[in-house]
Amino acid sequence: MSTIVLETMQLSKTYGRRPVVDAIDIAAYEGEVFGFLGPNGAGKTTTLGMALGLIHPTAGAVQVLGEWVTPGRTRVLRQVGALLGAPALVPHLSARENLDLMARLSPGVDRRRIADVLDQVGLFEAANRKAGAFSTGMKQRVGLALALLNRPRFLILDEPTNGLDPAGMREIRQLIRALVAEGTSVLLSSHLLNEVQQVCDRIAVLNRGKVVAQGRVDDLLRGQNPGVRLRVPALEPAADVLRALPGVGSITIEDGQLVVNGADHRAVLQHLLTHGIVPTELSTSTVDLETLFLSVTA
Amino acid sequence: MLLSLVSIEWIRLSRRWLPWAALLLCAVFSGLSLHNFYVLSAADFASGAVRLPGLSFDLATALDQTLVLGAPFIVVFGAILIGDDFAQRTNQHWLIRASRTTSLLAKFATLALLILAWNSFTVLASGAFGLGYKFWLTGAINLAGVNWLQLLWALVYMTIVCLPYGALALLLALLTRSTFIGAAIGFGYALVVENLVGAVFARVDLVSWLPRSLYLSATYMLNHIGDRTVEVPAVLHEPITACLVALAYAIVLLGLAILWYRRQDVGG
Repeated sequence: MSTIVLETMQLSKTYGRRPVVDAIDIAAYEGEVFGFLGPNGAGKTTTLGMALGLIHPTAGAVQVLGEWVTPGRTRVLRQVGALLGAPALVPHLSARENLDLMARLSPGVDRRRIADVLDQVGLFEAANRKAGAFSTGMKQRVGLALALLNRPRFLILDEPTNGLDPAGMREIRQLIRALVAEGTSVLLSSHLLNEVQQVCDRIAVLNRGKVVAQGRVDDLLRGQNPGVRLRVPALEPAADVLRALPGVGSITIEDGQLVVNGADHRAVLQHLLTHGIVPTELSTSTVDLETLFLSVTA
Repeated sequence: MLLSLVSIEWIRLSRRWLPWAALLLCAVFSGLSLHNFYVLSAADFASGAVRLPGLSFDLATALDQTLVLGAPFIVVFGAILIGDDFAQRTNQHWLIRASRTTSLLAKFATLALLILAWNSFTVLASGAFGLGYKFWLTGAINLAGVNWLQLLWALVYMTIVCLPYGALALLLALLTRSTFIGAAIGFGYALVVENLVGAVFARVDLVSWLPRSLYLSATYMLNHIGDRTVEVPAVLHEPITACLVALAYAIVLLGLAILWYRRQDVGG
């Protein structure tokens, strides 16, 4: 695996007595899209706030691009772009002027770069309109442009497709893929699990401040055994036979069918046939990220 | 980085209508103050009982009164500089690129520049009014009697004695994370508390240490614009002492604001 672009070590944040982030260890690698998932209030934005030096950790530490980050130590963040929560814009300035302000803090960013970024996020035509008058989706595009302005090595995007229509969402997904192809590493925090599944290489799932799952999307999904639904002439004898099959977890009866969890459907079929039971119907349910998410955050 | 941040803060502030409305109000106030004086003294000027004052009088009088409008506006603009950052969440942009100390120093420098601009505009407006009025009266423009170096110095020290209000405004807005609440508390202090305490306890020594009293002390130096020296009343500090104390207040308040900001969580 390549260089780590974001690593938290037992990172914690407590407000009063309430732990919002509880000793989490996550790692995002260079050149990948790392998905950061969790239900509302799971502590995602607080974690990202600590990674960006905006929030003081109660305990633990965070490294970005190999350097420690604290609110008093943010030098490395000049190589980072971030869209954290709702886009932070000056409403009485135009989109272009908002970018111009940010450009003053980013060496090497000139008017041409501003125009390029506006074009990249599809805002070139509306660039001179006041940001306060923009729709949520357009504000999101300005926020994205602000994050991209300094040609970041590492891009942190918190709900980047908020307020965008389906076409806009697809554009952003394509943009993320293009950025990764150019060498940018991306951390994508999103509620849209389908979006994460399409774009991310690895994910971490946060629930009540704790990491409840982390790894490659494919590996995590593989780890979740799909269910096998069977229609057999006699339910109970078939269930008894299947209980002897190694790896089988639960066996339940739903709507006159056996639902077998924890075993591969080919092994189930083979086992039944060996015991002289011929199913009249067999179907499998694939596990997607939503199923995984719901199972680990339940 | 500091200069970049100052330019950012200046653009954010100057692209609002409020600072320009405040400057316009300041011009109207300066003009009306002088207008009232000249109208009330018109008979004395005509009879020769009182000599028509020179330009230095107009300039010093205007600077003498800037705090009346200045203090509330400084407090409001200070609160805007901080409070808007929290409301618009734009502080995350600056803090990802710069330290909290630099960010706050930039806001303070922007406020100081604004106060300097305010005082300069007051001088320009009152000078224009005074010259215009006397041209209308005498048909001549007379720039004599003004110590221009002292005028430039006056812009500096009259800015310095306003700085505690700016630093207080930044601290209050940081503590409350709100433009409105920060401005309201600062406004209440500058307009009500200081004036009330100043009026009720006028003879108490401690009152001389209030920022308002320090400002009053400094106004006695304005006579130097006309190459005159006026003795400062015993209840007030010497002007230079007042300027130094005001500067110390500003530094202490700004220091507290920086300490607080460095401990504060932003966003999340």
